[in-house]
Amino acid sequence: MTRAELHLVDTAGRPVRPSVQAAVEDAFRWAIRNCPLVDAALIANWSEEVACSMETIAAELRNPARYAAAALNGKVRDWQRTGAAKLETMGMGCDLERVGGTSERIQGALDRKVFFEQIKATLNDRDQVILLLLLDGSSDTEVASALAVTSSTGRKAIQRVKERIAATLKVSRVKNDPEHGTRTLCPTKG
Amino acid sequence: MKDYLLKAFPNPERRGCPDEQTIKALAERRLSLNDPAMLHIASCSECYAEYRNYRLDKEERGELNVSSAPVLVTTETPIFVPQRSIPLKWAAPLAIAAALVCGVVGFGIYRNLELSKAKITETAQLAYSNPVAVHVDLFNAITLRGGSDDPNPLQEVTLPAAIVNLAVTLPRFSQSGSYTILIAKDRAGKQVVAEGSGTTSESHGRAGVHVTLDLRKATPGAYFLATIRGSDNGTYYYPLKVE
Repeated sequence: MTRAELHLVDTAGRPVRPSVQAAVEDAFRWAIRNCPLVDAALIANWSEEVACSMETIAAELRNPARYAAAALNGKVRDWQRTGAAKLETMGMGCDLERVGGTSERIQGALDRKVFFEQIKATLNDRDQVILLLLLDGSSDTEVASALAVTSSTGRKAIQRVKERIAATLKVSRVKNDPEHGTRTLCPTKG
Repeated sequence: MKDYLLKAFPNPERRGCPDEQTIKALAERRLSLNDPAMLHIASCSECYAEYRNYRLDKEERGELNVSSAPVLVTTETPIFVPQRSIPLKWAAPLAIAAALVCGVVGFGIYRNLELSKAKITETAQLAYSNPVAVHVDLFNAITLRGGSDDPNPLQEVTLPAAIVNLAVTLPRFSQSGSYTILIAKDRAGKQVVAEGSGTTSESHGRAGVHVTLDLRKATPGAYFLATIRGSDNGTYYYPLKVE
């Protein structure tokens, strides 16, 4: 699905203004890239809906790009919530989980949330910037320049962040799997 | 880990977010990574999503050549390979090498001692890298325009010499839109110490702007805080003290 395939018009069928068009096209492109498992045709439909509604309130929009991105992301997220529920596989295990009020998906989300909170508590603002730059694929030198420190201090800071994340991951793994690494004693022998 | 930055810091109301141009400039490395907006992006999921999209856009255009390698966290212990027996003819060169290694290690220990002294300074820097939230209310403020009056520093408008998450309530009847907040040594705006841009948000009929300013390098003293309206560059100055 390319830009040209989006039919961005208002309720009367007139083309939307250029600012709205550019904002929605960017949001569409980002959504396609960030959600490769969602049907591109569906995202195109939502983009056209977003463009149509944006055109009606265009005069009040302070930042069309951010509005379009937030609106389209919201629609994708809503669909992922409801769409995933429809695709749920059937079976005794699933039924029991549903009756019990939990599912693997919910448990996974909870575990992840707890893990994120643990990392948040471990890393300070400076560590967050280091993490962001590392995820970008930045070099040690770039990280050091961002922190306004020497290369060796930068490398140490990077190492500290990695160690902190590793420590959090270790704690999280032990919590999820309490039996892991524990010594199992044979009850019949002294 | 990308999910962590994308989900752990929700800010749907976009409070204190830098404008798109700043985020884009940082993603495209047109702005220094030292910019205080980086601190915000690293702790705001919405801004990080925007930053990442701009970064990926640039990568798709082929202007970026980075390995998007994930953070490698190694917790494994290193593997030691057993050494072979050393022939006697290598004994003398090895002894020289050992002596050299000892020298290097000695130098390293000495350097470490020197570095431990420097660590105290680094800790102090870390403390200053934590942003401080400050609110400046200019709703009833008297403005200075141009280069006429002698400034009388207002005691109540003071900012710390740190990274400041500044919330400015703009004067009565201020137009909404984008504003640049500037801290300068002079009213001509030639010696700019820090600068940030933002869009107004209204609360109880008062327009306000949120910006992040890096005042770590500002020496204590009298400054000017300028509000520059984006629509027509209308500039107003307020005396300010940095402590």
